[in-house]
Amino acid sequence: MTASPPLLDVRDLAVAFDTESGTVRAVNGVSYTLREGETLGIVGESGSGKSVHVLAMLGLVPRPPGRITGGQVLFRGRDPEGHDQARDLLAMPERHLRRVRGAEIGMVFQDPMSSLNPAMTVAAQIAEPLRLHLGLGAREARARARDLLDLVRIPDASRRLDHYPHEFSGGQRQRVMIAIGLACRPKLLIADEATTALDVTVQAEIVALVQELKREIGMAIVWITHDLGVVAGIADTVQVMYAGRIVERGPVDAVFSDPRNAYTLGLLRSLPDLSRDRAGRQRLRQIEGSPPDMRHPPPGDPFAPRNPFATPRCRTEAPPLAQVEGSVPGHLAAAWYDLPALLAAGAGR
Amino acid sequence: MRPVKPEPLLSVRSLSKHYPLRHWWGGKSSVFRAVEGVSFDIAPGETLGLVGESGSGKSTIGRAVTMLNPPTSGSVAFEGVDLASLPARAMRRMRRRIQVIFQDPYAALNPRMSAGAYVAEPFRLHRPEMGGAERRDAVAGLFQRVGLDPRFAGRYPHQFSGGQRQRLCIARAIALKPSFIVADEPIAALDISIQAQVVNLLQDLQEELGLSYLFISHDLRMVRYLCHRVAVLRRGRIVELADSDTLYEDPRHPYTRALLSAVPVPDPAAERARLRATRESPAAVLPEAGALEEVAPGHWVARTVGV
Amino acid sequence: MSEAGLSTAAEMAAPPVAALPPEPGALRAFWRRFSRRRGALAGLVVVVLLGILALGAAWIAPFDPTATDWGAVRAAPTLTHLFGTDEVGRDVLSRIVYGTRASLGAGLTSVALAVALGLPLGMLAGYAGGVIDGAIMRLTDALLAIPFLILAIALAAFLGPSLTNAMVAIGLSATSIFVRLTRAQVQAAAAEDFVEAARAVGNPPWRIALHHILPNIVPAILVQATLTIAAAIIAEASLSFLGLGQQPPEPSWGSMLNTAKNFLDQAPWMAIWPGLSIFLAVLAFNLVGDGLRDALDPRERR
Repeated sequence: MTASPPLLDVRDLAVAFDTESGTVRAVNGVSYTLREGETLGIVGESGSGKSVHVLAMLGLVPRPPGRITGGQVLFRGRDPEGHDQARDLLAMPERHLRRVRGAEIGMVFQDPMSSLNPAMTVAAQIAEPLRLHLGLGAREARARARDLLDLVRIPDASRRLDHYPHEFSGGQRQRVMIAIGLACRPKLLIADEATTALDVTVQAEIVALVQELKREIGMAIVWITHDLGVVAGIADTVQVMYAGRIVERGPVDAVFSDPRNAYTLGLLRSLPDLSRDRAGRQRLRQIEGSPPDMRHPPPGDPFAPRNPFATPRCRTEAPPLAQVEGSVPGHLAAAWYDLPALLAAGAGR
Repeated sequence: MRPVKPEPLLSVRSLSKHYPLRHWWGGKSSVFRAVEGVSFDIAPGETLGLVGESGSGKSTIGRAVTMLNPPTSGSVAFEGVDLASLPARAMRRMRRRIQVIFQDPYAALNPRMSAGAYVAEPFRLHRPEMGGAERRDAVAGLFQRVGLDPRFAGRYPHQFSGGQRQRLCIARAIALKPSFIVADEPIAALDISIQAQVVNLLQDLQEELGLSYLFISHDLRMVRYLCHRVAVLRRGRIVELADSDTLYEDPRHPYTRALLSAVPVPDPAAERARLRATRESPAAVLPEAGALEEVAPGHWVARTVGV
Repeated sequence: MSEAGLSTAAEMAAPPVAALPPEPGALRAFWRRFSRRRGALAGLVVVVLLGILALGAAWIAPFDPTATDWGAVRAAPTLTHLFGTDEVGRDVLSRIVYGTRASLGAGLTSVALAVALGLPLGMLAGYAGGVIDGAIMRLTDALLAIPFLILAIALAAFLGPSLTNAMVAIGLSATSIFVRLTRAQVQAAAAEDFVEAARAVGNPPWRIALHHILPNIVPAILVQATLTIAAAIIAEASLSFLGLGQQPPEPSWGSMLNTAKNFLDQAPWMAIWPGLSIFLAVLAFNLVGDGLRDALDPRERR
């Protein structure tokens, strides 16, 4: 593979929120890259920084109380002259950033009902980015809107164009959101918990749809979720976040089969096995304790207080994210301990 | 293998909950059948799972059997007593034996009541003879039992995390040693790293107190793990009811199959294979559910209507 | 489950709780939010000073507020009479100080009356619903249709001129505000999960209303009460100005203004000081009310 420059290059991004009871360091030095056409699954729980860091790079974190305290986000989009060029989203004026958001990076959020304007027809909402960013006329935009509804498999698209969001089911509304996100053929689609509010059968449909669209369009995807199952199927690369840091990252097969960070392992082990009989089941292996209070994160590795494998060093010094020895290239983990060795020695039950 | 079938603790028969619908200009009114003709039993010490998608009526059933939102018709017999015909005062006394754990531990706690007062409330209501010191000891014991430090009894809800709040709700629910708890999506609002803690706690309490649960959830993986038997709901009706191994290994109703095949698997190779197998296709039109039929001992499947 | 398991569960979960920083008490947190606002703080200082004036009038006022001095009629401010004297030679400063009693007293008493009537009625309407709700709400709708001051004047005229009657009139006029607010707040609170949770443990309705709903609506009522005190102070001054409130020779800012209007050219100080006092008191209560609103707003909490 030729080493083409990455589509997205996040360098040492840090975000803080000033609250009455102290500063919340929500994102602490997050760095990663995303290739063109790559699907990155970001897994974490609330407070892990998985959503906040994406909002921050798109200029969507309200300031105040939010503050970007450091870093660069290089996105290789089109500059005003139409050339591909990596530019720092964090240093971009809001006017340019708005263009990037609508045209070059598409977004789909958790709640399709509150992301859609209830007083505008679906056609008008899909046409908006087309007219704004591509300068299409009303008729052209409408035709494209119909094609997009077709694309996201909404049956009878030409008739549904003039319907309002409440006339669509939850799954269909999320399809409309995806149509809006893809309207300008973005190079990157960011989905933040896009299937969390949906029923499991609808989630399956949306995931399958995104997979197919990816084959057709070839955009890169950042899929943010707390559901390891969804990530397993959809992602090329998975990135686990905890307490505002990336704790593990790598090709999805490597991370799932050979986790090197104790939090990743804990998440994978705490899930009940769908295929196991009740008779043969074991008590769920729970992760003890609660996620840290990000106003006063523990020193060192923030997971250390909950980590049965923690070493003394974990409690004083935060481990860097580094290539895992003995695993595939690109499998990175932040850990002072050697998880496979500890497991082989019978630690952690 | 199967022990002698004990008398059911809870016996629900033909439970229906209808809501009148009236067109906004006052035209012909109709009824929305949120739940229609649902029957099931729960044995002492048993967990019955109630699964279904949003709008399937699973929470409505939970609220109906606890009389928080009484059913339109049908009977709910708890230890042989029909709850629907109990006067309000008697029903309030009955709540010592029947408790509820709610989905959202952020909303279920009174923001202006301290954790200790919240957990102590069942004692104040149902054991008024208890002295203050005795009550405080009981509350401290409950805190410990659910894994909370009793020193935090004076704190207020916003000072606890989501998992800790759900522990408070559980402590309050078990305060009077009930025999039956309706758990309505008790882990849905919790962080992934906390869900297993709460499920393990619920399970330990069941063994310890001989509790029966009605476990309402959309998390099919957790339901299989936790529940002895499972009822699958669709549009207010049960489409399939069986012990959980049977239901997950030999689902008979097309809807149950669709539901189970949609659950993502946290194993990349298997999940990719599953996704390939279930190519995006418009949801199959499923038949309406009719009366339940026993296809094998204890395995009930809805007959299809109008096919 | 074994004892060992019991203790481990507690140990496992305890550290993260212990790791929480000590949270300041609710009162401290409230004070921090309130005192961040300069206006609210200034308003509170004025309210406290007015309170001191009202309670300590006998010690603070340099003269008897009703004692006349025919040697100094409508005298301009001097070192003896800092605020000047009125048309019968009474010390204006002393009358302002004593007038604080009428104004603050009327504001507090009438609002207390309005809350005492409005809160239970509003809770009844909001919680019981049905016919009771309909009856209470139609009545308050009818009352709210009449402007507050007009209603207060009409009631005061009907009851007869006296400070007590003015307070009753103002209180009755303000009641419907609290009925409406309480009802809306109760309905919002009653839809919360914690009220359902309270039912689920077997709370009888009255206990849900008193223990679960009431504490959650108090902040909103408190804010409205503070703002209504400001309105009540204006209403008292207006009634006294019209001769329906405080009766001469007892001082009240409103009645002082009434007399002063005849001497605006010759003795403007007779009007300036009571006018300024009303302005300050009303402003102060409004500032405190706004500050309370912000400090108690749950959206501000994290």
